[in-house]
Amino acid sequence: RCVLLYVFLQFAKNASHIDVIWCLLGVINNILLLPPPPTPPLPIRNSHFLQNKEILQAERRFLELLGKRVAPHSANADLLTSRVPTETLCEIPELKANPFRSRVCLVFCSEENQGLSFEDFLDMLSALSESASVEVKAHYAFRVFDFDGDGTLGKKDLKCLVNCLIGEENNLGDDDMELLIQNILAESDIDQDGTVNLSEFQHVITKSPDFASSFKITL
Amino acid sequence: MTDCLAYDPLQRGLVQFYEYILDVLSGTGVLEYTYLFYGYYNLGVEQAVREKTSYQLPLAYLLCMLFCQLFCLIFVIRNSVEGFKQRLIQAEDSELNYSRKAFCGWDFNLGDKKAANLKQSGMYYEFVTDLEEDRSKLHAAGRTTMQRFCIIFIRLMVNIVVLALLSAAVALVYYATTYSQEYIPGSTIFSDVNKLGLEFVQDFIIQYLPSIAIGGLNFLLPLLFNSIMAVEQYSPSTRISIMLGRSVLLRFASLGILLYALWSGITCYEDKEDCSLCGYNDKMYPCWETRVGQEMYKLAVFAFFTTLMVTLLYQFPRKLIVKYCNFRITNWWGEMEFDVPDNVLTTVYEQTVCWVGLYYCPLLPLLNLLKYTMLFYIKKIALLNTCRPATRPFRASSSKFFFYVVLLLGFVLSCIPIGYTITSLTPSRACGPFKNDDRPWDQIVAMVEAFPQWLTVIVNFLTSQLFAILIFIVSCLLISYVMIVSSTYQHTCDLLKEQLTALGKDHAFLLGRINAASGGFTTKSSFAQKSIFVRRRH
Repeated sequence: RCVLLYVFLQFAKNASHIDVIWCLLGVINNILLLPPPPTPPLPIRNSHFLQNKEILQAERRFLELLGKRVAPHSANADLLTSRVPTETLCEIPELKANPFRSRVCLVFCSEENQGLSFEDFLDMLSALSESASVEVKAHYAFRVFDFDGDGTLGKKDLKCLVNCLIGEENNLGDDDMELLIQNILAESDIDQDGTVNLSEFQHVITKSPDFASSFKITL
Repeated sequence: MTDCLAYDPLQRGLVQFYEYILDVLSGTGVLEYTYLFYGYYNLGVEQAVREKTSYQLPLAYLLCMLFCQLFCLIFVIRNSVEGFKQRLIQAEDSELNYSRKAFCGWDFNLGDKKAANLKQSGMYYEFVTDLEEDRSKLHAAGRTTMQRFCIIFIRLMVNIVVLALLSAAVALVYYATTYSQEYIPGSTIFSDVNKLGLEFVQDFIIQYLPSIAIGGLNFLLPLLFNSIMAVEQYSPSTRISIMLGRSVLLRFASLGILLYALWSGITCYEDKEDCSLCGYNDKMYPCWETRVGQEMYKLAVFAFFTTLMVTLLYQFPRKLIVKYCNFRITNWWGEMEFDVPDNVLTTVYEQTVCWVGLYYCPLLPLLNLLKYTMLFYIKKIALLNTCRPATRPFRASSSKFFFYVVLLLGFVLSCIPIGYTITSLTPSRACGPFKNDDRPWDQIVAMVEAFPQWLTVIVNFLTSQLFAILIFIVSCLLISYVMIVSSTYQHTCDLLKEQLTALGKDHAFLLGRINAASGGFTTKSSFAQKSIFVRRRH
């Protein structure tokens, strides 16, 4: 607005009366009718990796998934309390083709079998955002790949992982699968206990520069 | 000496209409005495000789060519170095090959079902290829001595066959070139007016005979090589490298023999009499640099038209047939797969042709620029509309370095003809900027002699043998220092890895002791607590 005023003053020095009035009208139009900057409608903790813009977008999508109509710039009380069932979330276009979608929803679900709340949804988007750090991503990726939830990636987890990666139509023979899992364990299991724990997983991740860009979802 | 000046490209006489088309396609006639070819750059040469202050066109021509080559060299080396660094980093981490593919392989950005299926097939084939590679390595390691001798013998035989095929191809190109050079347009058997079309076709084919021979061989011989490769029992990645190596050898050999055939014609390798007057064969080649430039021009134009024809007349109809005719054989044939290595090698080869032709046909890079721009969009449209994705994904990252090495090799090979022309061959007396010099390099010598005294002393020192020996010794010292440092780092890496393994074992041992001491209080709750901590923290 200061810039506009300055320009107006410069212009006023050399202009005729009609031009000045026209300019004034334009300035008033711009200043008074400027929309207020969008603020997040709820008291969300600002310690996520998400920007305000992304939180607003997430709010809109969450409300759509709940089946409610989107009303801009108004606090929605339902937002804090309702939960989206896991099946609905798995159908969103960003996750529909992902073989790990059910695992992702399960990992970020804070209460078992009750779906995701808005905070869970924000957690998920934050961990999978572009600006999240590699440690956070590695931590959540480890939990996603831990199919049986025992805190380490054992042979069964690795087998499920490989089956998800290659899809249902393709089938690696039993010998091949066994050989593959043995190779993975030989490479990443440093303490040789037959499973991959979090630090060994992080060791592999730090050596792959493209992990951060592939473990990412944008709405 | 006056006989060597008999060169009149502008005199045509009665010209048939089709000859204009032939001129555009082969650079003769209308296009011969233009900026396109070496022969035109003789304006102002006499003035430059007379007055030292006027624009020295011969020197400018030579320096332009040299700086172009230097510029290209710097860029090619810079890109090869980046590819080499990437390759070194990847080679170091080939130990984590499987883990990386398993843990970081899936791209979470994929939202399309078809793309996801494609990615899954890609991962499947990567795993299968890697396992096959490991299996064949195990198999190779487990061979008995007798089997090893057998394999080595078979491989030797196959290499001899490949060399024989290459020699046959090279001889074919040689004879095609010499026949095409000795042919005079218009002296055909079809001199009847009614058979004009046939005359044009015959002229066209004979003019383009070297290009047709090279193009046909570049297409057929790799197919032949691939079919014999099955006997050699290499592992898959070695097989691909050897296949590409043989293709590269074929392409550079055919280009080399074309240049050799031209050289032997120009310098009268067989019959010394024709060259005694002017130092080159002036009856057949009154302006020989323009002829060489025309051959390079024809190669470039032919390559462009071949790609265009293949795209229009083969890829699109194939796609239409496969789409609309639902027979079993068409389904098995399928759409075309885009072969990445083949396309990259073709581009590298065409770039080598451009570098060789730079000296003789100065506007060839501009033509190449237009050609590549058009070909890029044509190939892109053809790829997106007619090709199916490759079932076996091509490991672009691992081969990037290989292609840059081939490009560098092409560059080095292209420097040889130009270097030889500038320093050893007699320039044409009838055309071009160097008609008054014995060697084009004399221009540079004259320029250096015209330098002020202190600069001449420096230049003399830099080109002396003493300086070369000094540089050699210093480079050897630097290289040995760098090698020592890198082997020390490697040793440190190995030590650290062992430490990591030992730490892991300690960790497991201590955990076991804790578990035993606390009566089996599970580690699972501590893990869950840690996860909540991470969540609240961010």
